[in-house]
Amino acid sequence: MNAAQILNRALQLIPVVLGVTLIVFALMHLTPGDPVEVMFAGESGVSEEDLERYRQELGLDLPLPIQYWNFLAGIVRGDLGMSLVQRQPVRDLLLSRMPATIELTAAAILISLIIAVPAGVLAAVHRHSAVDQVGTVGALLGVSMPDFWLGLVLIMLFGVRWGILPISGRIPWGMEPETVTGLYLVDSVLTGNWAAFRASLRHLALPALTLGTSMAALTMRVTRSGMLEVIHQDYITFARAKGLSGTEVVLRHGLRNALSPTVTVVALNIGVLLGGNMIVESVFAWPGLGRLVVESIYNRDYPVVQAAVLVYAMTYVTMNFLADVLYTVLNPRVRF
Amino acid sequence: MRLGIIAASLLIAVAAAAGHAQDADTIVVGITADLQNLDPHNFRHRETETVLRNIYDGLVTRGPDMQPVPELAESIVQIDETTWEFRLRRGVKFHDGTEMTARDVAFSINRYVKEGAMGGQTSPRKDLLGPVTHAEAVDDYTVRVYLSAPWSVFLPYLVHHMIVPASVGDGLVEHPIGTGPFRFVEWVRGSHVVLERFDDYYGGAPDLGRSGPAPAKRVIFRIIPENATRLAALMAGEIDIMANVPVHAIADIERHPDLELRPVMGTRSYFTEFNVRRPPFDDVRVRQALNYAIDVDLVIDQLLGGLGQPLPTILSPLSFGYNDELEPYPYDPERARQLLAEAGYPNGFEFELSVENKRRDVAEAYAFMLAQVGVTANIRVWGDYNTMVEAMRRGELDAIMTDWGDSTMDPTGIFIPKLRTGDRGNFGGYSNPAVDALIEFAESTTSLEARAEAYRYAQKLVYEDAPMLFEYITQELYAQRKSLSGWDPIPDSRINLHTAVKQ
Repeated sequence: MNAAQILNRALQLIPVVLGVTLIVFALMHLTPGDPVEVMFAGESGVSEEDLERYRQELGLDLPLPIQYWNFLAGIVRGDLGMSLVQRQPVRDLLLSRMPATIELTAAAILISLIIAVPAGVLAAVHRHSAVDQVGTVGALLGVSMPDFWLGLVLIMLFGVRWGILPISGRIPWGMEPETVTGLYLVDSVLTGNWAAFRASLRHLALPALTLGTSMAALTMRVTRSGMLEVIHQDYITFARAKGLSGTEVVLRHGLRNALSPTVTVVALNIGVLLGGNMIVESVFAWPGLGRLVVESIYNRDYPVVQAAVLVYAMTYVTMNFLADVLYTVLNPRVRF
Repeated sequence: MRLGIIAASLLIAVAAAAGHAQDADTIVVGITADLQNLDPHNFRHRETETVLRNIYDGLVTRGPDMQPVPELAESIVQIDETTWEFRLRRGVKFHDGTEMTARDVAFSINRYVKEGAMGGQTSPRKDLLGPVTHAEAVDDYTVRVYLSAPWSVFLPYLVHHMIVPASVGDGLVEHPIGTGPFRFVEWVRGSHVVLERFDDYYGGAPDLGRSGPAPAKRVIFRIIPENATRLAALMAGEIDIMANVPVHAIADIERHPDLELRPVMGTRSYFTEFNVRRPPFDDVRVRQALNYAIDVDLVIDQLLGGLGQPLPTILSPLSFGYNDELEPYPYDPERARQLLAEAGYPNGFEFELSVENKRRDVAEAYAFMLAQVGVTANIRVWGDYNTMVEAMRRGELDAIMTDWGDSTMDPTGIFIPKLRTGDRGNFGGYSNPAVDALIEFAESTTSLEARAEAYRYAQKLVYEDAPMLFEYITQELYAQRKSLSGWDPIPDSRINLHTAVKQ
């Protein structure tokens, strides 16, 4: 892929992202109940005139096309607007939740890769053997266990029964490392704060394992199929015929070529996970993006939802784009 | 695969290397939702008030019997129908060390009631001060509050208003400064709020029998939205108090040697609103019949773990003007069948019963009981409260199961919005001119006795009109570790930790 092609692909992102914002804007405003009504729902005395005044102050009485235009104009200025409920800049709200989600995503992806790639390769190489059977059943289990169930089982075992791991949150109060990136593991390494490193690793363990397990299942299956396809290719047979050892053939000649589908799956998974996993974040009281967005939808906090979806769309499209680029690196035969 | 298992167990082994110790000076409370912001003038949200009320005190607070008692005020005099004078306690300090004076109190009240006073926006709590127009400092320790009309429930409403320093104003959003027992340390969004003991605390309301600074050095409110996780955190000792205990957890908590269940009468009434604009619920006999056909006691017993009380209307027994002569509709299927026959439905009828997912079990119990008197209720489950309510307001639904919270313990908080003709919470279209007239009278009279009498009579009318299937008020459920003492749950959902101690 040359620079012009990359630029071309990048420019294609703009209409996609615009389209997504328009759809989300329309959907949010079509949903009954506006933020002002929701704010006072099921609560004591407030008059219709009061509600109307709040709508005016928040700019909700403006015609929808103007509200949408203001939103777009804000984006161009780098201003994502103010949260209607929290009355804070949306940008700050999103930024405050991102490190937690990024850290959890990275750990979950790492765990899934550590489990899935070796398991997938072994299963493919020893096809129909006991290893393959165990791997297949394991993958089925991993995909079938709902995250909230697995999360709660881990909490009950490691947190309550054995009491060896913390149940919720990112780190105990007072142990946070100095902020550099907002990622506690990275920051604690950078500042040499090993107590904070251990504490945040302990808090990360259960949510990352929960999220990583379900992802590992899919990744393992994809790696296995990719590997199966490759090991029957002529060049592998040739390499074996040359007298190279089985392990060397598989790792040096097979794996690299077999990984393309795995890369796509993992990249798209990262795109999804960076949006924050509402379920895992709720179960482990993890202060990530997913919870913020779902709460904002319930509160009809339009600016937060719109901005978050914008970020999602951009992340997803970017990850997809990166996967394509990585493809061409792994497999130079692929051209776009 | 083997490699993966080894790596995963290695990660867990490293992570599990040390246990966690909980500081005995620190009280940790598990709540369900994050705060909206830290400005005491800028929210309408339960959890936000729960936390902020530990940082801020008000002119008045609630005494043990839920009636208002002086807190930052020393004495309260009503000068005339629309003027109140508050004499303030002397020597009360804000967390930044400055002394609280009448100027701060006047500033706080004006920031609540003046349009655009909050950096160009109006406080969403303005209507919680009804007809209050403004306040002014008479001298350093005297404040006068002016109303545009007599308002008998001024003091109960004033409980929900907190006093801030005039010098800080809009800076409160980032760093709250109050006169309460705990001072603000940090808020990590979506995660926790940390407060520390304020050593110069004056001691709070004398009527609550408190004095001096809090014994606990630090208080942490942790946001743990998932019920099962909050319970696990309580069992593991990560938190000391758990808010919003679900009914299905009662048995686990009662069985646990270190935990204690703490129920308290709640402020939320539950009921099923009928669409009275069209058949079959335009007929009062049908509405009464359904009230007779439901065994509310059984539902409370079987589905709410016994933690509820049947209501004759929708008003809480703790509310001002509650009519204790009315008895909840008894369970009488025979009478229900008879009323249905009189209304022209000897073989019953079919209708759609709308409900949110959280009360689906109750809806199914109702459908079963209604089937016994020949009425078929087709349950429709809604994912979103506002969507359901909007459809009802437009008159498209037959009946919706809903609820309404009233932390003011006064008819203005629930009776008026739900039952006055065309009011904002009146989704079913109920309209009785006599009830409207009684409300109008009650809200204009200055005699508390006449006001109470008017509401008692209005409740009787509503009881007979049965615009709703009257259900129950639930108890709020908290749980705590037994190592904690000196804390009691209160009905209006604040968690005041001034006297809490941990062994």
